[in-house]
Amino acid sequence: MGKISLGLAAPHNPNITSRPDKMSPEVQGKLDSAFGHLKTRLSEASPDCLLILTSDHVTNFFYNNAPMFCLGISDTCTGPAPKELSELRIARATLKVDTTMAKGLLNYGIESGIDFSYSQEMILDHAFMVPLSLLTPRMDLPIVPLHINGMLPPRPTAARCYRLGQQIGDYVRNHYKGNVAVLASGSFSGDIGGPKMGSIDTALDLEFLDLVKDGKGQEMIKKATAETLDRAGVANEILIWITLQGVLGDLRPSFTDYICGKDWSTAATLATWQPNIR
Amino acid sequence: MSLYQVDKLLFALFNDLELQESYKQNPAEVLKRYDLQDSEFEALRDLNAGALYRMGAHSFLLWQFARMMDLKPAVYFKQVRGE
Repeated sequence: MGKISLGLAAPHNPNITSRPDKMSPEVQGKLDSAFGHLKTRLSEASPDCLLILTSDHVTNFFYNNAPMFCLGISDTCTGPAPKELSELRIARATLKVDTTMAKGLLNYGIESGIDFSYSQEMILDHAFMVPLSLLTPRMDLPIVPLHINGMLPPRPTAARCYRLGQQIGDYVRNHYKGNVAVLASGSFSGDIGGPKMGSIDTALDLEFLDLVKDGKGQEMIKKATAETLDRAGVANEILIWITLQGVLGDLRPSFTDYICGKDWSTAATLATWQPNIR
Repeated sequence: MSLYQVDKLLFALFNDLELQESYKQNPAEVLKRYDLQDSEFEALRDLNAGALYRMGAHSFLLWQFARMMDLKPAVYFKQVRGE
């Protein structure tokens, strides 16, 4: 049956594409190198589909209707959002959705205890498009977008996100015919618009990164209490990494990098996992 | 409940480019479409990010509003941090 051939994690700070001039040449070089590494691994894995885990940034969802987990199931999805086009320096693109996987996962979820929300009109905002533009610049890899609520409290628990990841892994291995790469788009801490914006919580970031390096999913869940998530800031992207860890079954990464971008408010954490290379 | 109306306005402004232009031209005209308390109306009209943050406005949306209105980041963070 299907297999998870690659795990990827990468940041989506819009400054990466919109304001590269704000970075020092050293930081830019490190970021180019790390993204280049991920891009190479993705090309080598040659997946049939890229499942993208991230939190919508209040583009598709608001307090009038705020799903915890939402799958994009339309034939195609388009991004970036019109509001982002003037700044992001990413051309608007329409990507094919692997609807076999998107709808298969939706139905598998209903049967196995995840009542996904789903959308025929999911817009791919920068949380999807920044890493896509750097990892698949031709935008020709079929995707499945999965929103995991990090920005509209209350958010799901870390344990729930890990379990979601496990269920995604079960679906791919037992019901999908093909080779899937999974991308977690997000960093750890980042208080966009909040009082802590601009000061990077390196201590928290590195504690999580150590757990990632050791593949300690249960420790990540224990650490990601509501208090820790509040400390991490508004986007709660730790939950996205924990979901991916659930998909990968506590596999250790084959590559990690932590790049501290003081001039653009968050650090960039990147990683790859290669399940078939032990 | 009314704070929801503040966030609802900020959400609409964040996502609707035409509404952004209308708001920049005539904020009062847009503000009156929302069921705002006087303090909320005034904080939005006066671009008082500190007051809006302390009322509980969504910080990400508030930051986008400040950017749209060209509020200087230094001023925004001073207000939000209550300095």
